[in-house]
Amino acid sequence: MTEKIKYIFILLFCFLAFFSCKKTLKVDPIYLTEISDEDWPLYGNSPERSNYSATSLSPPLKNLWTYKASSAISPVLVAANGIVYANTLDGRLDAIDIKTGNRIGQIKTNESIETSSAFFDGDLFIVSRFGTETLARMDLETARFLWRTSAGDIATEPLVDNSGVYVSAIYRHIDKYDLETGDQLWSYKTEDQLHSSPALSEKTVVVGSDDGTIYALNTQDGTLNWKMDTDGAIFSTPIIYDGQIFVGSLDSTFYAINLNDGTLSWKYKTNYPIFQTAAISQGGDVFFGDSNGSFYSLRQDSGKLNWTFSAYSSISTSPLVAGEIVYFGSLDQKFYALSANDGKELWNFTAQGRIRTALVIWKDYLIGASEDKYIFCFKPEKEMVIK
Amino acid sequence: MINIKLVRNSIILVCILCISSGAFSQYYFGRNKIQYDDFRWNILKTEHYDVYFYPEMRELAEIGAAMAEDAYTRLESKLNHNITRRIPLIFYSNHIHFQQTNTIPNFISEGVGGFFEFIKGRVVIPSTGSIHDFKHVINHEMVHVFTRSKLGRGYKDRRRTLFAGAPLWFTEGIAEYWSEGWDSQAEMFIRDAMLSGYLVPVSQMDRIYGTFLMYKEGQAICRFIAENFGEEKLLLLLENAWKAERFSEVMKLTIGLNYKEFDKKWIYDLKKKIYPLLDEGDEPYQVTKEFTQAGFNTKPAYFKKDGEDWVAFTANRMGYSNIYIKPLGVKTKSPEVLVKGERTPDYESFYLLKSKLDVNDSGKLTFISKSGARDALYVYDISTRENTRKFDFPDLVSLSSPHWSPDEKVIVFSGKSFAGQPDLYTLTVETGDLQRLTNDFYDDKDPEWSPDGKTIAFSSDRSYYGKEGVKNLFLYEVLTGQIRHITCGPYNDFSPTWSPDGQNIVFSSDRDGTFNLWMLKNNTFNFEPFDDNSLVVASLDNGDIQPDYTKNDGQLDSFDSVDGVLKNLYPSAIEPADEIKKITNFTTGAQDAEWVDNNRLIFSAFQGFSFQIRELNDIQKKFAEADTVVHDVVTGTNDIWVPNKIVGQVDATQIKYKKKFNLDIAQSAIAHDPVYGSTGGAQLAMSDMLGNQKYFFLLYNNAQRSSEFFKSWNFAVTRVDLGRRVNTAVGLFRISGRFFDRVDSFFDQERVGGFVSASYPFSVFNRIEGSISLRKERREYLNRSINGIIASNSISYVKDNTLWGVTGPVDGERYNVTVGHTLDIQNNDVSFFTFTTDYRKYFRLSRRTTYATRVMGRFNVGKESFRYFMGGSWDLRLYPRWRIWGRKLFLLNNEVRFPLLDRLILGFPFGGLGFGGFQGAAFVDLGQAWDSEYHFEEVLGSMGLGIRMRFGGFLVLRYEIGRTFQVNDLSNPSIHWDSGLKKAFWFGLDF
Repeated sequence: MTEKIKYIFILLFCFLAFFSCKKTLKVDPIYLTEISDEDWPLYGNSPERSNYSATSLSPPLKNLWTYKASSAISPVLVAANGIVYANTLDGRLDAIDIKTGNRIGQIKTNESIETSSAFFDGDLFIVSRFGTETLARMDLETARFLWRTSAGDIATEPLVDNSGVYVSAIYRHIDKYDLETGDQLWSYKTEDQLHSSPALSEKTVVVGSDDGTIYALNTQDGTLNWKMDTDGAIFSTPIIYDGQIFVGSLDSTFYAINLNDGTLSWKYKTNYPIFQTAAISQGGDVFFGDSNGSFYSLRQDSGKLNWTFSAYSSISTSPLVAGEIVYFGSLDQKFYALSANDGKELWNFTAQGRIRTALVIWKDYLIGASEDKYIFCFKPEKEMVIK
Repeated sequence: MINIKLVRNSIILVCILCISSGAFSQYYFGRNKIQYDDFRWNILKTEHYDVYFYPEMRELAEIGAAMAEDAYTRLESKLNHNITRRIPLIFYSNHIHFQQTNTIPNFISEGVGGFFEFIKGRVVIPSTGSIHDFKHVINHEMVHVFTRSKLGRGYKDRRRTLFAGAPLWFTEGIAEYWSEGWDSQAEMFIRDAMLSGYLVPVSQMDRIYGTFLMYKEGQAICRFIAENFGEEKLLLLLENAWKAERFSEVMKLTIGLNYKEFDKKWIYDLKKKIYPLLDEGDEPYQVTKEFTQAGFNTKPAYFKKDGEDWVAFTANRMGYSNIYIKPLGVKTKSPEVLVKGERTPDYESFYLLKSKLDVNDSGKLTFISKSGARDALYVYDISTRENTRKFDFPDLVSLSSPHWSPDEKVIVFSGKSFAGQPDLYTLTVETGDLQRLTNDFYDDKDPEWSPDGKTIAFSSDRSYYGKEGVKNLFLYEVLTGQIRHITCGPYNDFSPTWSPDGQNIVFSSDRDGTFNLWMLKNNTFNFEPFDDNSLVVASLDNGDIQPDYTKNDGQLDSFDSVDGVLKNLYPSAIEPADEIKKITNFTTGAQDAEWVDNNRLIFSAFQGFSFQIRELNDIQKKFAEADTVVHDVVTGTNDIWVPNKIVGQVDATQIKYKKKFNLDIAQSAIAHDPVYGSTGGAQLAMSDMLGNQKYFFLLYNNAQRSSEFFKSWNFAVTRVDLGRRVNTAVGLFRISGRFFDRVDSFFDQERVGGFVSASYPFSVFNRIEGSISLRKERREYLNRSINGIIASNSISYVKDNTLWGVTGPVDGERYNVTVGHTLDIQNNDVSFFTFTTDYRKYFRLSRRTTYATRVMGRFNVGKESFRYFMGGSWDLRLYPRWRIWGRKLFLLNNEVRFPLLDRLILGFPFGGLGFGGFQGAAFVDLGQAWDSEYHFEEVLGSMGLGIRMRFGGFLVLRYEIGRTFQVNDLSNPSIHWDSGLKKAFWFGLDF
């Protein structure tokens, strides 16, 4: 009997040890406050994917900390309540304290996570593959999934707002899911694959597809409002501002399209394909880069060129506008900060690897990542000196 | 449990190979890669490249560097990817220089246009003379650089170590598609593949792995995907490659079709496009008269011999390329070999697909062959079967397409200088005087003298459209040096040929999408020199072509020079109203036409994946009735195109090349066995960027007890220098341990010493090599020991011109004769001479059957000489492996090799398993080994059958079955047969 009890205790100990070692993304409630303007809870910082932050972050910046992930990082980070959530291409999701750079939690999924998560209402919406389920809502306080659903193969960023969860799946459908239950509310089939993430404004969700078509759907029922053809695949995510959609295409053209009826407002021809999403400032300038390293600022109402800037290689991230500064990354391994007014270079930082992950802002922290698995956090130099 | 002895012996074997005299000659036999030229390498540093070049080709290097930077920009934006390291780009000004490169150890055949190698990431490219072709190859190889980097990144980012990558048909196909798009040559091959029934579906592409057809099919598949699914799908295939282990699944993920599904769609699309071509066109063999029917036959040259019509041509019918002759109109007569190629230093290569032949009325054949460091031009008397003249020119490396003047005194040809500049030249045969006709970077080819001797027609990219890589026809006026257009347009016109009466020119052109024969009438060639040097331009006026003579202000002189580049203005030799008519309507291709008389042509036709020479009659009638008529218009411009160069456009710095070594290979093995103990070692190989100097390091420890650890370190260091014609190797070594001899059993041995080896190649086929080695040696046998300083010397003569089949040589001969001496200079305990000879010859019985014979003798004479071992599948077959030994040995092998099965496919429920070719053999072997201890009493023999199978591209498995016998009492021979059948299974190439 004594032997039996001993073995039971040993087994129990092993069981507990195993589970206590299991990685978890349980987040301390102190991190789970209401989303504010200082957060960057989803790709583009808003359902319109404006890539704009009201926070003013003036260069020069200094590197506060560096975190090494287990593998390369997906192209988008999100930051909320002092935590940056980084998905890695070997299937992990790391939660990192922004102030210290320490990892506070991690989960491991079955497959590479090619996209970002979205933070909403204290929960995290994760796109990955959990068996056959590819979209999940996780309660960060309890580290438990509230629901998981099969949403198809997704290589784009989820869009979460009060109305629901919108995802564009590779194999030709864009879907809306119920926030609470994960039930599919509607699905719209497109002609070609989707590598562009949806953007939303008012009651219209917009997405681009591989055959160059831009779709505008009614958010309520997924019916088609209009669609418009361009001459090249749309891999970037449309952004929406002031009744206009702005999107770049692989046909080397940047388009401005009327949100209501899909008519072309203007277009701007670059010489090289545009892979990345744009950003817009509150002053009405739109910013984007092409794959030859040229970065553009255009007037959003007319498409008139304000200025251009040349990096040494392809502009490989969507830009981020913070006040009057625009930040972006390039395959030349640099983060850049330019004046949004005149394109003057104000700061750059050279990493050891190519930059493929878009920058995000949380308070006065700027966070980005490079291809060689590093996540960087920057703060304005002046503030660091004072501290 | 790892066999520690095997590991140790393997390490020692590698070590011995490294330190033996054959370290740099690669094999016991083998051809020679010769460094004829001492290139003074420099480096041009551009934004993304280190461009290696030699000073003579500076301008070409600058042009290539500019093209490479353009390719980089284009691919960076297309793939949204960049290369984070500097890319070494090594240029050669011509293919002969390129064949000398040591960046890879392999021999480089004519068909290799450039390569990207993975160890150091080098891109190595020769110029062919055509700026467009140079650009094409640069772009092609840069696609490889980018796609490999992007593919590798996908796996690395996801921490996946299994790098299956993408299949070769895709990587080559996308490289070709993204560098060239779709071209007439690809169109010709795919049409032929469909119509002749040999198109291979994607699902079976491994059947044609690595072949030219695979390249073209890959290009066609990429084109189909881009046109039907979107150009971005090609990029997505690269980005998705990591998602599945099989590329068929990657295709399913990306375009929604796996291999089988794709095949249905693609092949159906091809059928719809290509089959209807037979409504209006014909396959060449259906509508022309046969002249040749087997092998690859090209470059026909008509001549008369004893009043009869004959044709000389180049062909590869049995493996070697030769020049043949055959009478026209006598179907039953087989072609006769006139000049054998690829076996002797004079005739290394006839350039089957590139260089034409010509025969004059006196029966003198002129042709080009590679001969050593450069090409040579030959004059060959057909009636006496003798070479009468051989010309080579110190400043010209590559030559092609010689053609006799009507008076038989002068030969015109294309020549390429050491710097890579292609021009036309004439050679006065009697005096050997060389005259240069053109002097610019334009690629001038296929010159042909007019029957009146006043002009030379040729093909060149010097027209306005040449910047797109196309060639038009031109006339060179011998008296004045003026050059005029014959044709002008965005098409490839080449191989012009004059009719005997000088009234017509027939040429090949891809104006209608593939290569057909077109013809011009000569009512325009009696041109008068233009008085006012005007540019003749035609304009269309209500459908009528009106000549419009335009005068330009003093700009039209022929040879204005800007930046060293000639700006030529080419008036037209054709009146605007002249007609160019298509006289053949083939679905595939026709080229190299040659007139027999004013109404008959012979030409080379492409069908069934081969080239055959065909006859075409009633030319004048065909011309009169031709449906397709075009009128070329000379495009007026003062600036004929000029390629960009890197100087002045992008910062470039030139520095002299200094050798910097980096690691090529590093590997190690550690093993432990409870009986034999531990052993472990590492090997490193390093070389410089050009591969001319290599270092090999070997280090291992074979201690069996901890007390022996420090004294059991063994090493070998070898330095190999391949940068000059004489290849040298020098090394130091310490090898010690326990060894096993089948006769003397176990013994301990320690050798510490060094060696020097050298090899001098006389030609590609033969060389002399020697080595000297000095070592301190200690050998402990059970009953004796040897302790001394051993000096070993040897000298060998090697010849090898063999042609290889699937499992071994099938034609030619090779031999190795070696003499050596080994002496203990300290104690005289060892002193012996070595004589070995190994002669192998291969007689072709038919295209796929060979009789092979080997005669080998090995003799060691003297004190403490080592024994030779024999027996097994590599020498005396069906006898136990290495169980016959002696200090003297002889061996005679006879074998008939024949094909058994070309391919074996086994079908299983889960899929299929395919095996490559099975070869058969019937053999008779005789041999024996003997010395003072093991006497020569009988000759051992064996007779039987064998099967060989090539497996995995490098391993040949062998199985033999038969009987052994002995020949006793040689004065009165009798044969004793051993009972029962013997069988043996082993591996290794045929002898």
